[in-house]
Amino acid sequence: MSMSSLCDDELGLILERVHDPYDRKSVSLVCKQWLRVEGLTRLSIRVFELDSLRWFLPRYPNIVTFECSTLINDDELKFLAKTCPKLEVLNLSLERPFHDEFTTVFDNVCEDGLCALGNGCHKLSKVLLRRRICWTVVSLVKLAQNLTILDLAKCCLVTDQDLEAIGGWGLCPGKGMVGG
Amino acid sequence: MSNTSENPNPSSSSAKITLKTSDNELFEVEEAVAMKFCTVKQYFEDEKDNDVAARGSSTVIPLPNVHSAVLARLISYCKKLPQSNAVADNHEEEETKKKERKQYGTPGDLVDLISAANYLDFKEGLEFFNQALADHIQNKSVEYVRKFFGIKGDFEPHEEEKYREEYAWAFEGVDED
Repeated sequence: MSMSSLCDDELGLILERVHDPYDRKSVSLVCKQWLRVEGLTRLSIRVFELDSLRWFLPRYPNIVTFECSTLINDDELKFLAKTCPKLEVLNLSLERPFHDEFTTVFDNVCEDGLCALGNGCHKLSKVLLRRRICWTVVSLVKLAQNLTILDLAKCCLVTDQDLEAIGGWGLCPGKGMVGG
Repeated sequence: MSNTSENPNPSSSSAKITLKTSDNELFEVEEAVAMKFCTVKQYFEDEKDNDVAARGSSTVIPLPNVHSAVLARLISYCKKLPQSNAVADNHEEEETKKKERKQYGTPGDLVDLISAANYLDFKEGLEFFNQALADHIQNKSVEYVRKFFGIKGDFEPHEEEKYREEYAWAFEGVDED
């Protein structure tokens, strides 16, 4: 029985049909070919810690959904934009605000990261930023042409400029925003 | 999807096409079955265009990448294909289909069928056998999958450990909505 005869394309067609996260984990650890093809056919990822992002994310260039609820910075967002151009759903909502001993801790994010996402990920349609306290979304709203859902609930520092940009953006029917 | 109108021969519905496999076996199959294999269809149509005089006569189409044992199974699967491409829309139907897929045996068989279906560009078959193989992967450990597919892990020990840790600490997949 010769089992090495599946080429990457054929294996890809099979792994596209494996959806369960645990099954995908198993198949990726089978051998190097399966690791590679699992990476190419993976559509979603939830990241717990970003320290090794640069190591593992390049295996997943076709990611459509990216979730992360930890502190994130501009460089990491730029890296995400560059590595996963097919991104459609970005869920960075937090369960609760980050605190250290004395104060709330903020993400180290300016405009750059979201700009890169707006520029690099043309299919981006859903962005969830619940409780990301001090982000500004002006450029994202302007750049991401296919954005239809934007969740800014509990983002207490949304600026007037943000609201203005969203006002201009929200004219299309079917677009939705959660704020407050 | 019928080409019979083009053919002046009224008995064309039972026209036969001869396929020759890698081990030099000849298979005489009904045109309707052979046309499910897009590679064959393409070849057949090119032949017709090239040689109008040969129309209706039986050309032998060589399939150097397909073994007779595999072709026989593909043809029998093809004959069983439902006329409509109805997708299983309820749970019961899906279970029946799953059982049907299980009958196609060992992963080795399925791999051969997939490679042949891929070469022949036989879409329904490719879909079916891919799903059959995907079924086998459901809910199984790494070791099981390796054994089942006869694959040797080729990671360095520390490499594999690193990948396993990544899954434990760095990220996971997301269930579909």
